[in-house]
Amino acid sequence: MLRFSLPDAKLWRYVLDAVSALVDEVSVRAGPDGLKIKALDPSHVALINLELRPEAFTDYECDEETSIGLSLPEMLKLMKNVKSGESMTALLEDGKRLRIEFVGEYKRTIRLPSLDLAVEEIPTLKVDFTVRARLVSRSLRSTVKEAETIAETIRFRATKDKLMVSAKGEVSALDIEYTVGSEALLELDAREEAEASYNVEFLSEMVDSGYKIADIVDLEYASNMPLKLTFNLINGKVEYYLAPYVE
Amino acid sequence: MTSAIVNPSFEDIIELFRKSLAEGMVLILVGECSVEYRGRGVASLESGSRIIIAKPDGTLLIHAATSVEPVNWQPPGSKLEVYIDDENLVLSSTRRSPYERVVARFTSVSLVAVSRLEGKPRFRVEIGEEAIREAILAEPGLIEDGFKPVSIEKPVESGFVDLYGLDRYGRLVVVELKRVKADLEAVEQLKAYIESLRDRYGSMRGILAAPSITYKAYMRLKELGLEYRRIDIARCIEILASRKGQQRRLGEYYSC
Repeated sequence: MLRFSLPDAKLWRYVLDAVSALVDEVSVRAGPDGLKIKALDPSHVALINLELRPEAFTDYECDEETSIGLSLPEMLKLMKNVKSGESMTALLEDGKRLRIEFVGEYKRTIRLPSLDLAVEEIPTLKVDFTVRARLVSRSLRSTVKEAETIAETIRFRATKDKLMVSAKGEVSALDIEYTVGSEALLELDAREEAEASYNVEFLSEMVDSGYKIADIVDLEYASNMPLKLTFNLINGKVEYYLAPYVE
Repeated sequence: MTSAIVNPSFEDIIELFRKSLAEGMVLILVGECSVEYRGRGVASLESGSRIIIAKPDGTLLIHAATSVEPVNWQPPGSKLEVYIDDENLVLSSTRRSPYERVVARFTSVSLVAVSRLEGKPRFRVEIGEEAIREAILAEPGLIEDGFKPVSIEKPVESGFVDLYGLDRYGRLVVVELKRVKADLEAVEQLKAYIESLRDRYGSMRGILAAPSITYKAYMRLKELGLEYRRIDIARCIEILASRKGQQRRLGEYYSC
């Protein structure tokens, strides 16, 4: 039996947005310790690891481990009209159907089948990150969006007190410098002057979803190694991994 | 250009190492060393007489007095460092993905040499259809100016279309690729694909792209109102070789 409630349904929509950046269908694992979603995009370049602990919900009941298969486009379509402040309660009926109630100005109930999805075991990533930066999500998002207009890859370089982001296109180039202690870069720990490049489209999708969920983002990477973004919630987190683009 | 020093001092060695690094030369060291390896596992070799060959592309070979195989090695792309530590000369080679590190610690060195080995090896490369397609995707101008690839391996009734896209006027183009001389069979294949798609998409251009074509096949193409484009294999190889950058996949970084 699975049942959970959120005081603001918008969080659930942001969670779905965050996952739909990578995949269209996903298996949500529900257990006594909360909801977990782990998914790899079809090209195996990006990974999302999302956790919501029982404390994130106003009401959470789950007596045994169970999986719900969700079609994200379907669900997002049904949630298009969810307004701020509307609460939501989800109930898994018979293990086969998900019933969600939204209560705002009026009560609305939607029903979705739980898809039978093959559960892919996704191994753990092992990366020794040499750079750890804590940024204001909104700032990172602006930077990535700007880079997206110019090039296909975005390059990060860190020194002891600066994080430099650059993008080089056919015609124009962009260089952005974040200094520690500035409004945007809250913390920086660089064990080496690491440099790495990443696909800007993937990164853009990630920060676009993430900044709605958390104001602060932890960005970690190492030279020519994957990048990790962590958006921390009070009772959960959204982690993204992105494989590097190596010259 | 070759330099060699018998019974060099460690400082001499550092000097020559820097030179070899700067000028893309091969470095050779002969001496007594112990070796430690850390990466997929951990291994160590006791002190013994060894020859080390370090190539400008990062390749490292550690050979002992017997056997064809090196006792340890690192592939191209590995980063080499040479330094003095605690009265030993240390040579360390590190690679990142997967992480592997070989450290040779010399107590004495009897010979150090650097030399430039000339010549870039030339290979005859066998190129497959997929590679030709990759080259076209990287440089669509190989087909024609303004060609825009839209999809690959598009399934149709009679099989799979190699490459499918738009020309500069926005007209649909079906491309059939062959890595050898195109013959009548290839023409019929192209004809079948176009027929499969005609109902749904209307008229479209058909291009048979190959390094060469038989006379009969060429005449048949003309008869059917289809086209031939000669593919320069050497140019494809050049494009693929100079293609900079590669998006990696996360699979490379899973913990074992």
